[in-house]
Parts: sequence; C-alpha cells; structure tokens
Amino acid sequence: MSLLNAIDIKVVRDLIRTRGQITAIVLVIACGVGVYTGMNSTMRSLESARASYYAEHRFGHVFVSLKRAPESVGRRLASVSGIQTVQTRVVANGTLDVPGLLEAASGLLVSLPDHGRPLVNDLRLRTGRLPRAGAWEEAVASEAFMATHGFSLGQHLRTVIDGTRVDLKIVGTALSPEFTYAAAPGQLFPDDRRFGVFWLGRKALASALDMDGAFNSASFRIGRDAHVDDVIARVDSVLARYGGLGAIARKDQHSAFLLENELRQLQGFAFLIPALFLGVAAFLLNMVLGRLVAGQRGDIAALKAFGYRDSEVGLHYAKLMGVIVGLGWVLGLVLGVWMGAETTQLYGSYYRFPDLVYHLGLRAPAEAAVITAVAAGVGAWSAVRRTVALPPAEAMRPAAPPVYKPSAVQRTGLARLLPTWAHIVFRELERRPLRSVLSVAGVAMATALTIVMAFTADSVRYMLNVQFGLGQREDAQLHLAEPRSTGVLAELEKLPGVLHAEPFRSVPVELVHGRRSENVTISGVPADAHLVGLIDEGLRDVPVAEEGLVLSRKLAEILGVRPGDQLWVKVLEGRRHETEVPVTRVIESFVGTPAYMRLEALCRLLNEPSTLNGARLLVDEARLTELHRAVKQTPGVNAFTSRDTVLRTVSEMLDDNLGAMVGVSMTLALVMAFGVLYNTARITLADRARELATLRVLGFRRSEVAAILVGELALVVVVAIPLGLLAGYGLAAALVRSPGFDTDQFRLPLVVASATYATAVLAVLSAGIVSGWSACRRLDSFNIIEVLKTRD
Amino acid sequence: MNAPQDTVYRLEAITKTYIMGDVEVHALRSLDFDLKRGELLVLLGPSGSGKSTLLNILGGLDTPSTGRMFYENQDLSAPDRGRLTEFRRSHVGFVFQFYNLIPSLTALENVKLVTDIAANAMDPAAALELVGLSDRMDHFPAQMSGGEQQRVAIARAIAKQPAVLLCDEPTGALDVSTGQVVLEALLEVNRTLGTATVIITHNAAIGAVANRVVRIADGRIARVEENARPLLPSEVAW
Repeated sequence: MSLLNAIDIKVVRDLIRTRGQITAIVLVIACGVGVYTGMNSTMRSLESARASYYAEHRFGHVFVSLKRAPESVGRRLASVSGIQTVQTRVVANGTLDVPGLLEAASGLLVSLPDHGRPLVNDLRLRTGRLPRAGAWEEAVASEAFMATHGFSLGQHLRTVIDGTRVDLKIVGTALSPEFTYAAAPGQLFPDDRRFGVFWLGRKALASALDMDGAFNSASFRIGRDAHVDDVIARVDSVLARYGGLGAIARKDQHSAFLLENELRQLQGFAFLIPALFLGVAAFLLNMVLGRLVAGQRGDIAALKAFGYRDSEVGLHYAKLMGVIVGLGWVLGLVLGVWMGAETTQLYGSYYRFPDLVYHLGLRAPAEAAVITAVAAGVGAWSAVRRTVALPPAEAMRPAAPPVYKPSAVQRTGLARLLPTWAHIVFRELERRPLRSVLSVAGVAMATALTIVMAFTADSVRYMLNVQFGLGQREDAQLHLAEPRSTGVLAELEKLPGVLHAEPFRSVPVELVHGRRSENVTISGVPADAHLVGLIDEGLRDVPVAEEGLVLSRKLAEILGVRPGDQLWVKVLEGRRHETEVPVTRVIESFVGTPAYMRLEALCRLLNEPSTLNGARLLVDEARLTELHRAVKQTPGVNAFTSRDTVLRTVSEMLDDNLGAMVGVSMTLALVMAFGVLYNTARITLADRARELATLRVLGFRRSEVAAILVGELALVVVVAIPLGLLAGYGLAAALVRSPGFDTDQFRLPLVVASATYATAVLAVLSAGIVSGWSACRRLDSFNIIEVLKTRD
Repeated sequence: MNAPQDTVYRLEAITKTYIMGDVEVHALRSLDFDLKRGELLVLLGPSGSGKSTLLNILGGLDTPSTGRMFYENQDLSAPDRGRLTEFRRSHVGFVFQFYNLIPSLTALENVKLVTDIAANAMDPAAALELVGLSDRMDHFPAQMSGGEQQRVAIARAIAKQPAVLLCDEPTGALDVSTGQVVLEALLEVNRTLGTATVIITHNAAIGAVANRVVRIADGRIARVEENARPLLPSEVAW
C-alpha cells in the first residue's frame, strides 16, 4: 500500500503548485501566532516572576509615609483590623557624591531592622551581606546602580543625609520588590547612573535623621479577607496626627503601578495585533482556496462521479488548510519564542526581577492554535462550501459566466476620460465587491498597523518636548531637605554659575471634592515666574491667578471639577490646615497630576511666612562643573537635577528601544501588506489569464497588459492607504485613551509624526511594488497560445 | 529578396520543431507558402497537421525554428518579441474558436479596446454594423449568443483595418446556421475592406467559399486547390 492516498498526493501537489501564495499566507499566520505567543508568553513569564517575587519577599499591600511617629504607634497599627504585618522604618532622600559622576546623584535611603529581615518588603541579596548591627556606615546598594557604575563591594560613597555627611561603605547588593522598576520617586524613566536605593541599619539611619525611636514610613501586609480601602482609611486616621501623607494601595505604589501598567499595555497589543493578522489570514485563505476550488470544479465533479462523498472532498480541502495553518503555527511558534525571549530580556533590563526566566508554556501556543484554526476555518469553509456541495453533473459544466454591469465610475460620466482597458479594472473590482473591500481592508490594516506600533515614539517625544521644552524652562532644579524662609534664595543665587534662582514651595495635600479625593502636591510659584511653564491644550502659556488653584487636566478629571468649582484642601504637613479653595484654571500636563498656586497664596493657606523648599535655576553652562561640585558640598540640598541630563538619558533610552520597535512594526506591516497584495495579484493573474493573453494577441504591449494587472493592485493600494492612515490615527486615538496609556502617572498625547505616516505608506507601497513586479514577471512566462486554446 | 507586389506573406522552407521532454515534435517540415492581397484562403487539415502552428507563425504569436518569413517585404523570421507585438498591433486581426471577448466589456468596448491602440482604426460602431450587430452594441458577452459573440470578435479583429485577418476555427464552436452567418460576416469584410483572410478549419466543406484551399498534412502542404467560383456560405452545408 502506498503511504499516501491519491487524493493526499493531490494535496501535496496543490501546495507545491501554489507555493508562492501559500508562503504569503503562512507568513501572515506566523506573524499573528508569533506576536500572540511571543507577547502572551512574555506577559505570563513576567506575571509569574512577579507573583513569586512579591510572595517570597513579602511585598506590601499598603504603604504610607508620614512626618514622624513614635515606635509605639507602629504597635498600635499592628492591631488595626485587617492588618497582618507591619514594618515600620525610616526613609530619607540623600545626595551622593559618586566617583566618576560630575553631578550629584540622588539616593533613597531605607532602613533595615537591626535584627532579622524586614517583615514586609524583604530584600533579595544578590552579593555580599546585610549591614552588621552597629556598623553605622555599612549599606546594601541596589544592584543596578552598582552595576551601572561598575562598583564592587567595599566601595565607599560620600553621602549627605538631611544635612549630615555619612561615608557609606557598600557591603552588599540587592533587589527589592518595592523597586522592581527603579525610577526615582515621581520619575517615569529609570536612571541607574543618577539614582540608587541604599539600605542601612535602622539605628544608623535614624541617628543621622534624628529619628531614634521613631519612624516615618510603614508598609503593611493585610489579611486575605481585609479590604484595602478600609485598611487605608484606618491607617490614615491613626497617622493623621503624626503627619501621615495618605496611605496608598499596592496598585498605586510607583514601581508596582508602572509594572502592572506595562503588562496591561502588553496585553492590549497581544490581542490587537494578532487579531488583525488572523483576520487577514482568514481572508487570504478564503481568496486563495476559493480560486483553487473554482479552478478544480471539474476535478471535484470527477471525484464525486467516482463515488467520493462530499465530506471526503471537503476533508481534502480541510487538509490543505490544515497544512497551511500548521506551517504558520510552527513558524509562528519559532518567531514567538524568539520574540518572547528577546522582549522578556528587554523588560528584564527595566524591571529588575531576581528570577526572570522566559517560559513559552503550553497555554499561549495552544490558544494560538485554536484561534488560528477557527479564523482559518471560517475563511476556508466559506470558500469551498458551495462548490463541494454541487451535484457532480452540475459541477461538470463550467460555472455560469459572471454578470457585469456598467461600473459606478461609468455611470458618473467619467468613463469618457478613461481608456477602454480601465473599464476592465473597475468592472472586475465592482463585480467582486466583497473581495475588493477585503483587499482594501487588508492593506489598510497593514498601514494602520505601522502607525499603531510606531506612533508611541512620536507621542513620547512630543510629551518630552512639552514637558522639558515648554514646562521646565530652567536649567536645573534644586530641592531643599526642609522648607526655608525666602532669604535663602539670595544664598542660592550666590552658588557658582547660578544666573537666576526662582523659588518654589511644594506641599503635600489631599484635595477633596464631594466623595472624590486625591493626594497630590501643590506647587507654589511666584507671581513673576518665568522658569515654570504652565500651558493649556493649545500649548499657550497660562498665568497663575493671585488666588485659587490651577489643576492639570487629569487631576480635574479625577476630582470631577471645572474652573469655578470649590475644592476642599487638606494640608498633610505642619499644622494640617484645611480650607476651601476655588479652581481657577485647568492646564495640560502629560506627567503626574500636578497642581499649582501662587507662592504667596499657598503660604497664606499654610499660615506660614513666605517659605520655599526648592528653586529653579538658570545656570551659566561654562560653570556647570563648578556648580555641581558646590552642590555636593552644600548640606540641606536633597536633590539637584539638571534638565538636559534627564532629557538626554530618556532620549537615549527611547532611541535604543523605539528603533527596534519601528523595525519590528515595519516588518509586520510589510508581511501583512505583501500577503494581501501578492495574493490579490496572483489571483487576478489566474482569473484573467485568458483576457490578458487575448490582449497580448490583439497587439497590446507587455507594458499595457501589465498596466491592467497592476492597475487593479494600484487602485487597491491607492484607496487603502488614506483609509489605513485614518484607521491608524483612529486606533492610536483609541489606544491613548485606553487604561494602559491614560493613567494618573502619565498620559500619552495623541501625536503621529509625518515620518510615521511616511513609514507606513512606504511599507505598503514597497509591498505593492514587489507584488506587482512578481505578477508582471509571470506575464513573461505564460504561454499565450496555450491559454487561448482552452475554453473558460 | 523582394516578394511580388500582390503578395502579403511569403514563407520559404519554414520548419517548426517543439521539444517535448525527450521527444522532438516536427509541427512544420520545410513548408513554402504565400498569401495574396485580398485573397480568402482556407487552410484545411486534421488536428495535429500543423495548421495552427502555421497560423500562429503568420500572426506573430510564434517564430519558425528555421526558414524565412516575409511580411510586406519585412523579414519577420526571427524578430524580438517587442517587434512581433508591434506587428500584431498594426497589421494582424485575430478571430478565435472560443471568441476570447473580454467578459467585463460590452460589444462596443471590446471593439474600442483595439481601436484605442490602432493608428488607422475604423469607428467601432461601423465595425459592428459591418457584422450586423448595430443593435447589440451595449450588450456584454454573457448576454449574447455564440454567433453574436463571434461576430463581435470579427468586428474587433477588423476594426483596426488590418492587412490580414487570421481565423482559427471560427465556426468550430457553432451550429451550421450560426456558422453560416459568421462566414457571411467574414466574406463581407473580405469583400468590402479587401482584407486578406486565412481561415483554418478541419471542416472541408468550408473550403468551398474560399479563393484557394491549402491542405496540410503532417507539417507539409499536401495539395493546393484554386476555386474558380467560390460558393456563398448559404450554399455550403456541413
């Protein structure tokens, strides 16, 4: 017995004969399966690494910062209903003088219990050991900071903590679930050169901060049945008189929020992109199998005349589809594993996990197989169903000739302007409206895909330009450890290189409007502020009125307020005044949820004389080195950031990743556009071989016949591109409004650069040119005499 | 070498050999042939005799393996494909057994397709009138009978006013009475426009309408008969 039935040999031969088209479909399926398995397996690898990391290291459920509370309050918190474990600690900002770094780096200093491990937010020690009890200068540093600087254990770092100089000796490196994403507090992007986390013994840090027997930060793990919001309310009420700044849930913790948000973005893409690809694959299978079956009408009739059942004939085509789907799936898995491993590694360089391992798992490949089979099945079934069901006698006869009508173009009277051959193109497209519409839709999707995948780069660049170009007009910002009277401004202006210093005062508050409330920082700016730019949606400058609050758009949305509404402001520091303040303006801001007031008005609200806790500086660039050196020596300065440095770091990071992103999206778009256009061209060629041969015999030049063939493709491309650009813009608009991109911490503005549109058009045009060229090349090889001898 | 003034084609010792795998097929074996201006010639022969190969070579769809072919004193024995296209475009009209109309174009548009690209074309409507189809101009092929479609094909072939009209089994797919109508149309064109016409067929009866009948067998000319008094198509039956 032969290994294959005769009908199976036909499957193999059909595959070989249509290999070009099959390859195009296999590639489209492979992209869909690849993106689906790659992104989903990445997401699950990250989720599983996160779950075990958070669990093993007892990552907190609730976090709170406060001014200062005696340790006994910690014991009271432990008895609060719903709370399982409390870890009190001391946390402070410090400035570091890092060898090899011109500017001061900022450090977050976190205390460790003097005995045993932290009950909440345990560390994962990577090298070395924990500080010994009583060894005041010993510290464990975040691994990324140490690695970026190439420091080894034993490294000394001069640090200023709350005005006190401490010479830290690094005895270990560690990771912490609290700082999976190691961006400085409030920053969106990590900068491992200029920011590090340092864990010190509790006594050592407390004595430097004069916090013996007290704490200013606490983390909690709550019981299984406890409600986070209830626990937060209880914690806030306990800590109100100790300068509590409002407890937050894990979902709002900076690092956890950004990680979760990243995963949700990934999930969105992991659904959207494969859906587009598999939709296109279903259409292509429908088109190619439909054409194949139409060409094999006689064969099907013969098979049935021999006694093959409908189901057996159907199975024959199902096998054909099965091979295509199988090949696409296998290739897609290879692509997916490669993509998944690369993306997981990329995520691993921003989100530091101790045990991040890429796992393909079984779920993503299985899901991809089912989804692909369903999509392909729908496409294939609708293509073969009718022909397979024909009675043999009917199938023996040629299909009824197609019915043509004068085309819409002709009815508009434009016909006179068109050469006769152009009618062929228009009528063909009109005769198969669904195929034409789907071809256009497929190419439009490819165009849109490029935009959706690449526009985020434009949006982030725009966001940076607005943030740093219009919003922050200073050269550097300087934060003081404690509020000081405005007299200190004169001292700051005396620092070397400082041309101008503009004071600001930031105050943590809770804003309340009806049932809604939000903890934010109000920034007080002077009346004649030049260095802070508040802008509206049209990027016009917005002045800060003498009285009242200026809110960022997102904050106004959260609180449900409009200019003219009153807000209840609860100050979270000092004497914790509460008062009502009107909202005067709403401004545009893409990062955070800032709020602004006039400096004088804010000080009146605080009931304190004019104070400041930081300044925006204009600096003489030539003396920047001197200024950096001086700041490192100045006690009482907590952080000093130079705008250009931040901008440069972020831009470098974007360029590194976004280049790859644009490359990947271009490739995906090319595959999709090529899959559609190549198949459209080949099917046009197959359907119309007889016509095209006739035209050649009638004396049409090769180029003229090619024009008809390419004309149909060109029309599809010309109609699809503008639709695709619109669809791309629309999808981008939907995406920036989706939860992963419209968050409290940042909003992606909807910006699509002309270069991105051009890239999309270029990808689709090149796919069109290659498809057209390959179809035209076939015109050379077909035998016009043979074609004419056969009856349609 | 110059062909005589009244000769459109002159073929000298034409051979055509196809290589089909390991087998050499000799479709034409050293064939001499000429076609006179305004002549109506029928090429008769059984299938496989080489008549279609000859027609394809005459029409510039194929080139001879050896031998020489002159068309109006031009040597077309081994020209490039581009030149053959230009030759077909300006000088030759084709009519096929299965009409080969473009299904998406109306009768008038099918004719216009050719007049659009020809230098010295007739009015497409006049061409259709010549074959008796003035009332069917806006019909699509699927809306017409086989005979009507073939007459559209004839109108399309002659609308560029070619010197030669080459017809490959033009009545092969039609019944007798429809075939007679189609033959009438071909004769009408031959008479009014003076187009030299070659009809290939395996149907000997059709030879009766021609000026000359050339019988082909096994790639050679077997016999040539001159018809002193050609019959009218209505007098012919098969």
